[in-house]
Amino acid sequence: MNWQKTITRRTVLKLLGGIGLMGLSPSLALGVDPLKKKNDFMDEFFQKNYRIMSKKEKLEAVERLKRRYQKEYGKTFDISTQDANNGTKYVYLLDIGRCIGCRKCVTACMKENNTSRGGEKSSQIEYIQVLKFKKGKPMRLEDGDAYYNDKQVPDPDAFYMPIACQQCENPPCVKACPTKATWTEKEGMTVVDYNWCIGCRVCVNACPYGARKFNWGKPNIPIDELNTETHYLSNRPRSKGVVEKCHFCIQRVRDGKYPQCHKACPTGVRKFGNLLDPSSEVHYIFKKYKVFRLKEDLNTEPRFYYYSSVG
Amino acid sequence: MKLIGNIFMALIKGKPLYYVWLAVLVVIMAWGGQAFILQCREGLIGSALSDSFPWGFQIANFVFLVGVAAGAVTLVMPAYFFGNKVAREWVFVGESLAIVSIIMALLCILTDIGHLERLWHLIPPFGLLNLPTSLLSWDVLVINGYLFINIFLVLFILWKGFYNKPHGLAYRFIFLPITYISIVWAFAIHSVTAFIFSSMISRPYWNNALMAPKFIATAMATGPVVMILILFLIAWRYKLVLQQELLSLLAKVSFFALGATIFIVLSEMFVELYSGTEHTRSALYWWVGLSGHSGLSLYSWGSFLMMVVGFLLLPLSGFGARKSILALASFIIALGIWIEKGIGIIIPAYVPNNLGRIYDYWPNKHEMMIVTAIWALGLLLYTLVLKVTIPILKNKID
Repeated sequence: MNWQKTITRRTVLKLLGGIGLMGLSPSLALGVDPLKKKNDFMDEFFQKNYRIMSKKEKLEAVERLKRRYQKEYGKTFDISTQDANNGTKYVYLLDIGRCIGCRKCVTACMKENNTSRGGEKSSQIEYIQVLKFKKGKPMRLEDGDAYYNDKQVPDPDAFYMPIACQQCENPPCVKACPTKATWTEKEGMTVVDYNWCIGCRVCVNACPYGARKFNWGKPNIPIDELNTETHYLSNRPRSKGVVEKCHFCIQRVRDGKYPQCHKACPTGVRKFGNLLDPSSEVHYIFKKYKVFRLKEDLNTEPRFYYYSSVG
Repeated sequence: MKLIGNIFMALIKGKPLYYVWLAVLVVIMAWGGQAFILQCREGLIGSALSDSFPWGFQIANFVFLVGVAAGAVTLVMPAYFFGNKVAREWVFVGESLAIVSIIMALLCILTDIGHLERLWHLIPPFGLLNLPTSLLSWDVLVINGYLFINIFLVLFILWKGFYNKPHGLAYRFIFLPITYISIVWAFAIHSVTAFIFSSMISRPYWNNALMAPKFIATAMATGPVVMILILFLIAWRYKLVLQQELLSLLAKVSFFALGATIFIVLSEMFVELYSGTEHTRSALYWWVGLSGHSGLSLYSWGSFLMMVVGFLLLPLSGFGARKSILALASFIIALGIWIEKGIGIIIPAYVPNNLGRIYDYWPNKHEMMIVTAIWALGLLLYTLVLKVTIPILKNKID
């Protein structure tokens, strides 16, 4: 039975080759951030998906990350692993009748969430895109202007529509992910485990709202603008080659604060709150105004609503 | 043991042309490989991809190559399902083509993901496959399964050919059932690959039930013509005579599949261009351009023309009687489908993007280098496989 020998030999060789490759590739891919502590490097490499980690494993992962960030950025990070609040379903409402298109939410979000500012070797990541539409014309996405550069806002002939992740109740991105690296938290935000994402970008393809962003290069963030108050599932610094997205500022919301875009908005057109709480502002708006959602025909059931309080 | 020795000798012994060919391929691989090494250090920023074009040239080649692998079934099916003796004699060409093109397809993916070292997240039981909802998870399973099935089949044929074994129990109860599985599996790999795209509600251009039939039809059209070209090369190199029956079989399969492909493309074109809804913007971009962006219409009409001309040339070649016409037809069919089922499937789907922006994408040098290296590696691998299998199975020493 000579052939059996051949096959076992081949299999063994292939296995050995595979293990060799596996050992080699992390050092190749992460070659830019050398870690002195060898076991930290390997432990991070072998760490599990966040959702199946025990409490202890989560704490260990956080400590490892803190050490890595300390080395990389020279700053001490606070990385929370606080779970979702019970009895909350967050929704976001945006009053497009009164949005003035100042894009303060965009920049505030970038700073709060440590997104890459772009540059020669990295891409710029903005979770919110504001589209400017001409008044008196039907709202067709293709007619929106994403790069308006007006000296003064608002343009009286325009209305504005900020778009970010719609936090779908039926998210196509979560369905498409091959590794379960992204999921929806109990409160409704879809999050990414940046340590589990393999960077295949099938979710970027699957999202109908262009909400998912990929780190094409190593994120470029000015050290003095880093926000060190972070959550594991939201704004902690990411590596190159992973997908990220808006998460309603989990690091703030679970701390009882509003998302940063809500705080930054000078006109108060952004409304955020718990749908399950009958006394909440969002509940009131739902009763008072006609709301609508983007691409309703896709049945993604967004938790992000638009309405207009004027006109 | 004697088999391993022979394989080893077959690999290292050869005419000067063999060494020159290998050297050229290695040089191309080394040149293109630099781009990959740079990518490992700096990420995919060197490519022309962006959040509006998350997939590009590598995925386009992936789709085409999975099609070639599935198309190998056009030789395997006649050989074992219809008991065609001539097809059976040459079936190893198809099976080894499946192996090589699957490996190339996998490399297209591996060089395209952001965290190659996290690949183990896809390998159960260590990783977590997102079954049953993720089509990409299914694709990982079926594509790797197809690879291993075909490696087994080629090794089995090789072993039998080498020791001149008669058909025994192992043949009937292991080899044949696995061969039948491989036939069904070939359809599965390409359907699942098509479902990755057609399942996406975010891209109306892909979210189309014709996607899987189109993938299968193009695969059945490409597989035979690629094999015809390879057979011509083998016949030239080893001074073998190809049976007319074999060429005619492959040419006819390609003819019918290509006819189906053209029909599918025309019917898509009709529905999209006639209805003219917002959902047909991508098709408009591909065929005639959109808002002044018309960089691809040369490719769309070019590839369509190539398929039509190839379709007419196949009968004109007498389905293989006139070899030079057949070779020409095979080449333009393969090229036409490579364009249609590569960039023609991927790029238009992103135009306009999800929020209505119209951007253009064209692979840059970085992506071309990586894809060229993968093609060189595939050719190298296929050369080595044929170098080993042909002397054993055809009793022809180079």
